[in-house]
Order: sequence, then structure tokens, then C-alpha cells
Amino acid sequence: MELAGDEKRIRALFSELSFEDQICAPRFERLWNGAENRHSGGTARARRFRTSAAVIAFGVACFVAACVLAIWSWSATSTKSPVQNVANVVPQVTPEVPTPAGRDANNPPVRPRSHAGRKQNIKQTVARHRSTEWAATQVETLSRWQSPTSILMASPTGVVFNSLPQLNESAEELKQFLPKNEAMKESNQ
Amino acid sequence: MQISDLKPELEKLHEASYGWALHCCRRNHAQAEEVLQTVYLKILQGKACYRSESSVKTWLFAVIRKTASSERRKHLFEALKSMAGVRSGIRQPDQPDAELERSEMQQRFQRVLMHLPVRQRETLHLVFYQDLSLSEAAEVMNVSVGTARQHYERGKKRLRELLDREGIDYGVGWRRKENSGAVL
Repeated sequence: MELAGDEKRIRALFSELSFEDQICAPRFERLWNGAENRHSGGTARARRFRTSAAVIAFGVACFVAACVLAIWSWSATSTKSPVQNVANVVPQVTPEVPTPAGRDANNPPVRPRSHAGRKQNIKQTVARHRSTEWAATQVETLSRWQSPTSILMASPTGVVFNSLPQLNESAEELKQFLPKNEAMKESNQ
Repeated sequence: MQISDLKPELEKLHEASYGWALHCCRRNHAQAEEVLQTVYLKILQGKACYRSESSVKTWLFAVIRKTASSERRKHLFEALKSMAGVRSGIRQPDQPDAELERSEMQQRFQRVLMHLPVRQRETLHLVFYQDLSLSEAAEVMNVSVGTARQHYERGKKRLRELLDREGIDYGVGWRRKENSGAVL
């Protein structure tokens, strides 16, 4: 394409600009070496970052493992201690109403198919009976219990305080509830 | 293409690349140097990879344009931060020494160029300064050839008007370096 006159002149202006730029252009080697230095520095920095990241990750993993171990050991001890506590405490058995023929009304026993199962079922039944008998004995003992100082609390008029006159009783019988002075006065009248 | 193969090509195109970087950085020499070094760094890191889909010059110019654009955004952000009271290391737009060294005519011409829209200025630079064809310029600017042609025509017309208005005598007394390459 043939360039018009104006275009040639514009090109000349740009050529002049290009000439000036070439004078002040930096050397290729300087920029390339600078870029290489930045690249190697960046690579070293990236390597350092990777190393530190690996160290941090290892530390975090160790911390997590220690936490898991601590939680596991704590849970193990906490599950053991209640058993030990229970061993020291007298079992409190609530009295059960014995079901007919020793059977549980809600959960009827499943007939075991194997010999071992049957044996185990018998053992369970015997243990349940024993515990029921023991509970009944305990209840009886507790109901009969009396304080040893209760006799000191008793008084001679305790019978009077503990009894009330009945409505259908005769007047003569009612007089015994009155004090003696009052009874004399009444008899004089 | 390996970096060892690409390096001689880059060296050959270095001056033209610097001119294009300078244009993309609005004639700021320090920024242009920084942009060009960043481009070389991208090439070394493999972030900018030449795949032989176009000429090395077109590919390199496209990378320079993109890098300059991102650097400009970065500097704009830093300028905004400094306006907000945060200390920033933004460079001054131009060195006074370089400004003094330029001839008065060139300074006026560059001022005229700055009055053109960016796309028109880029097209004119690529065609007249870098001797690229319109299709190559379109490739660098990432636009269609039709759009590039439109920018070229409009830019040329506007530049002519502005030069006439400024009274720049660009016919006589210039060291001409005629470029015989065709425009398209």
C-alpha cells in the first residue's frame, strides 16, 4: 500500500520518537539479569515458604495428635472411675413387687433356644429372686426401726393426748377428761 | 519454545519492546523499565508462554500491553491509598531530565498524541512506530481487524487535525527514518 503524504509525515514523527526512545532504552542484559535475580529470589522465597509451611503443618499435626491422645486418656479414666466408685457404695435396690411366677409382666422372657442360653436365663431369674427377697427384708427392717431416744419423749399423759372423747360417750365417762377440781365442783353441784 | 531459544529473539526485539512499553506507560521511563522486566520475569517463570500461534513480536507486545495495564491499575490503587493517607511508593510520572532532553517539537508531538483516545493512539503507535500491519496490531490489542482499522482511520484523521492546530511543522528538519513496510 502506497503511503499518502500525510501518512509519511506522521511516520516521520513516530520515527523521530522511536530514535529518541532507542537512545534512552536500557540495556537488555540489565533487565534480563534483574528479572533472573527476581526469579531466583522468588524461587528461594517460595522454597522458604514451603519449608515453613511444612514445619507449621507438622506442628499442627503434633498438637492435634497430642489433643486426641489427651482426650482419649481422659475419657478412659473417666469411664473407669465410676465403676470404682460404685464398688464402694452399697447398692440401693428398690423393692419390687414380685410378679407371679417370677416373670416380668412387660418383658416376658424369651425362651432360649440353646442350652447355654437357658442356663443363663435361669441364673438371671435366680439373681432377680434373691434381690427381691433381700429388698423385702430390708423394707421390713426399716419399717420396724425405732429411735433409741423415743422412750425419753414419752409422758404419763401421753394416753390422754393421744385419745379423744367420743360423741356417743356418757357424761360420767366424759368427766374423766376434766381436771380434778372441776370434777369436785361438778359433783357438789 | 525454550527460554534459551526465546532469549535471542527477545534481545533482538528489546528496543521495540521498550518503545511499546514506554507507550503503554504513558512515556514514563521508570515504569516502562519495570514493566519490561516484569514481562521478562513472567517469561522466566513460565507465566507467559510462547506457543508459536503468532509471531514472537505480536505475542511479546500483547504480554507487554497486558502487564502495563495491570501495573497501571496497581499504581492507581497505590495512588488512591496514598490519597487516603497511607504511605505509598508510587513513582513520579516523568523524569525532568528526560523531559528537558527532548526537543520542543517532540514534546509538542507527544502532547498531541496524549489528546488521542487510547485505542487510536495504540493503533497508530503499532502501525507507524512498530511497523506492524493492521491485523498484527489487532492481534496485539485483542480486537478484530475491522475495529483496529476503524481506530487507525479515526486516529490518523484526528492526529492530522491536532497537528495542524498545534502548527507542528512535521515536514522539514526531522531526522527521517523511512519505514517502507506496508500498513496491511
